[in-house]
Amino acid sequence: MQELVLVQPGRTVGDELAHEAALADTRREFEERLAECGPLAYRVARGVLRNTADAEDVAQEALLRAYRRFDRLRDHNRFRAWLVRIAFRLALDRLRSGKRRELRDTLWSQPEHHPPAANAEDVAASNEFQAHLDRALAELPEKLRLILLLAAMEGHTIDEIAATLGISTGTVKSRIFYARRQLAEKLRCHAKLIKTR
Amino acid sequence: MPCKTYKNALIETAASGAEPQGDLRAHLAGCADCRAAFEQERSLFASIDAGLHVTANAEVPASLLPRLRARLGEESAPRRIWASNWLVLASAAVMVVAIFAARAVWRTNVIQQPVVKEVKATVPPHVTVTPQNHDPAVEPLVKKDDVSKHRLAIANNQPVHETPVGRKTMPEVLVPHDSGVFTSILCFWLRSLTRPF
Repeated sequence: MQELVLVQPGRTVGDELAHEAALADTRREFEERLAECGPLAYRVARGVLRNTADAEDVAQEALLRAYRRFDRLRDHNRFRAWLVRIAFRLALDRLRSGKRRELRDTLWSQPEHHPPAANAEDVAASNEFQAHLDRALAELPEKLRLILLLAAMEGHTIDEIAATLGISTGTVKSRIFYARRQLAEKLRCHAKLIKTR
Repeated sequence: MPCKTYKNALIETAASGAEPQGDLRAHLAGCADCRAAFEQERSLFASIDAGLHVTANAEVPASLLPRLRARLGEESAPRRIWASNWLVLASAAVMVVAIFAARAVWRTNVIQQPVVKEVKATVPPHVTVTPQNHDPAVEPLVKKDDVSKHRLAIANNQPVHETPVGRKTMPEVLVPHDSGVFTSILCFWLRSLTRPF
């Protein structure tokens, strides 16, 4: 049976086939990056939203948006940075909408979301301190929050963060320093929680 | 309580994660309060880092990538079977014309048949028309040759023998049953071509 293709007005069948081939190439290239960048988008979103379901939705949306505009990205090596910005922006929008705030808080307070850890991580993973930390993190300026999240992600060096965000390594270091200091200022009153655990 | 002189230095050293140097190091060696405060600051920053690590490295849901791939499949699935553009338009145009033609032929047959019977029943086969009893309403049904004869007779003040009005009927052609619609359409087109404007 002869295979026919959908043709848009003003296009010939040859143009259409070339377009289809280009789409297939785009999708192949995008899927190659998906295994690496999918978790990145999810973690950025989760760092902002603190909720698994919302973060997954936002990551999906960010990745789909990136896919739709992938051919417009001139330098595909900047894909990670681009995706991080999309995911971060979408997560902030979702957070501001506040539609699921109550559900998010409820889910976050459930202890099974925190993996077991040892020593200092054990202390930090305690629900109460973690809740204070996330609240303090949410109050940070956006650029400090994003840089802290990226710095805390496994496998991200200062140089990579600088390259991702298009800023100097010195700026990255200073922002991390100020962000941690601001967090410490907000959490110092909860330092007893650390001592008692 | 730490000594006021060294308080900021304590915090900044703890925030940077570096070991105390110079005067601070010497002071910490001799001041138990500052040493305790320094340890507390270091513990706070370690907890912050551990909490950030937990937040930023959340386990990615297993459904993220499969769901995304499914949505990507939906995004890039325009391969419906269609003919080329002009062929679709031409087919649609032929269909529309055929529908209207069939409808027009049907309506013509339905309307003309009773009129013919009625005229045959009411009008006598030969009517003598004089200038006094000429009915203009009958004139559209009269042939052009008859009209000329009629006008000539009127001009010569002579009686005119009118042709039977009701004899103008549709020709009938016997065709196979399966080509009836096609023949109807063909007749309609031929009539529309020969019809005076």
